[in-house]
Amino acid sequence: MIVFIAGWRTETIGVVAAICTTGSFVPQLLRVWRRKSAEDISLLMFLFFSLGVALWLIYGLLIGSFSVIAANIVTLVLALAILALKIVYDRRSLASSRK
Amino acid sequence: MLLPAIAEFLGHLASPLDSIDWRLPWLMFAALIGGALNAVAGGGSFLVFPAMLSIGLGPIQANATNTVAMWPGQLTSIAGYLAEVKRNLRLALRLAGAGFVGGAAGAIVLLNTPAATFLKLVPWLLLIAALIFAFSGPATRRLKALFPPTGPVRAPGALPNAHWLLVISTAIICFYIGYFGAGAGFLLISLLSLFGFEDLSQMNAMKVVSTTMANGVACILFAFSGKVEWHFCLAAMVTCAIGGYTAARVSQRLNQKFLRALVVFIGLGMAAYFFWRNYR
Repeated sequence: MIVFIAGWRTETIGVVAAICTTGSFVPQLLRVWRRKSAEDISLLMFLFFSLGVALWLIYGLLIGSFSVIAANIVTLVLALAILALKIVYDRRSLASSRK
Repeated sequence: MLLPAIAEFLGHLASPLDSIDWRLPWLMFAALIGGALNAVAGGGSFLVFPAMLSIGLGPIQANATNTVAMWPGQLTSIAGYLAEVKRNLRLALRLAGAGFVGGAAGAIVLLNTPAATFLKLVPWLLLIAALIFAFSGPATRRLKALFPPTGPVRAPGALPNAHWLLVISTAIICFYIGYFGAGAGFLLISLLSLFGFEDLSQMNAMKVVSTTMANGVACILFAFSGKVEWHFCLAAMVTCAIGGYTAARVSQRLNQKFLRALVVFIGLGMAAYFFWRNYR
């Protein structure tokens, strides 16, 4: 028996998926904030990831999909916050190692 | 008997006023106040952009017309930082390049965004910009606390590859400038602080170079796209300049804290209005 999933159910799956993938960055952000260190995080990986999310956001804007836009704006803000903290803490540790 | 007579009398009174096109004077008034706000605290777009929507322009036309109307005012501010730009010419050129790429991309995406989608985004964009303004003061103090002055740092901090990282980050913010732009100046200042800049006039010079380039390329693209309503644009441009010039002369006597609070209040009010209008 084939079960068709359509209408609001499809949108619900999309919303739950967006909450999971977007929310997954919150623990990482909190970890970096609490440990005051982001040495383990790859700068290049996060840079390309942020670029990819920015392109998803542009895609959402161009096709006029509000759920794609909203999910990617939140993800981009979280990813950029982690990147900013990495820059802050890496600068600090570099400065203290030079003293 | 009396009420219909009063209604008829009022109707006669109103009819000459009805024949006047109030859109242009209304926009010029909003641009005058917006230009004054821009000169003393920023956030003039919170008034001019909604005013352009209120006179019946489409959301993308309103944004494009607003960007073009505000641009000459930004261009003139480069003159004030010319010496600082010359001192850091190499970095200024890199950031101008980032402004060009980011601003062009933002403008192209705006021109290709469906009008209905952009209209739904308007309250969110106004809300984000108002929040940027609201948190700019505390965030600046926090950044200063994170990076206490350690001596003369004239270039992006000690991180390896910091230059290209700064250029990419600037291009991302300039994308937002080309797309909407309100509050982006503070984002650029925060970014430069993050990369170890401490001299405020140097930071402002780099900010002005990248924002002017991003808005400049966006203006050219908007002009060629046919989305700019030129008679409204020119009227707003002139009155905005008058407002800016007048306000700049008295800016020393104004309370900055009160002005910033006023800008945040206007921004949040406009966001609330557009949430009500677009989502009811």
